[in-house]
Amino acid sequence: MRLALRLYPDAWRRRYGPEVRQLIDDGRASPADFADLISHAPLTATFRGEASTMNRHLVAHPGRLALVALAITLPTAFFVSIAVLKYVLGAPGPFDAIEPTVTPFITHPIGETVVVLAPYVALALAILPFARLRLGWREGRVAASAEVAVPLTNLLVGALSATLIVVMGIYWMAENL
Amino acid sequence: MTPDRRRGADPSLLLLISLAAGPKHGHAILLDVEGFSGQRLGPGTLYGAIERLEQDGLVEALPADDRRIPYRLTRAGSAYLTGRLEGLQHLAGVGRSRLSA
Repeated sequence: MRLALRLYPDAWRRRYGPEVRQLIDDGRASPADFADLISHAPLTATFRGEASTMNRHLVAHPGRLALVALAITLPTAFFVSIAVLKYVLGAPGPFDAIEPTVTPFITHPIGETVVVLAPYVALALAILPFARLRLGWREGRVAASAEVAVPLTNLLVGALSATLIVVMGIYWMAENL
Repeated sequence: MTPDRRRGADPSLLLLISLAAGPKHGHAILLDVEGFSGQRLGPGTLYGAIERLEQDGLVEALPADDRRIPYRLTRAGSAYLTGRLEGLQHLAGVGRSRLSA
């Protein structure tokens, strides 16, 4: 039960944690109570967007987050850039020079998956920790709101990742539809 | 199969009704709610509801008795509960009259 409390944000635990622990001491520690505590944690901690411990550490170092996200998305940016240079702009030079080296990697299923998924991971890493999402059930209605306050570096990395996702999406549609 | 008539009641409403009888701490609220509604609230449900009601100014915490913090209805909470119960009473009346028509 006490472990379930770890899912809640620090501020919530400071305010209500002692009372919940008292409830547990009073005998409210059945599996159903445990499940209830866990099932309400995401609503409070994740969707309400009050920084959990992990999120607070991430948000405290936005530059590092941006750097890691950039490192993740750079290989994809490289491959997409040279593909655009060759196939869209008709400048085969750069791609032809490195083709023998990169082709085995980007045509391998694992390599291809990594290249395709990297911008999604980078986008999530750069932007999501700064998003405050609120989702609740009030008076029989779903109430939702979102607030995003992203540092400029993270916004730029996020924009790069989003652009790559769009370009890859257009390329995929041109190939398959 | 007969549906449980008491299932699905709004935890916030149950909590407000419980506090209408006077200030209570968490465990006392749970026992009271279970007693008058048959609904067993869990700790996550209870403190989720208390948090929302506190934010809305409908209940307030009283000085702590060790780790037990009693809560009471505010004036706004009392007015809100009165309005909700009148609304429910009206709906119940409409429902009953239509059933008997």
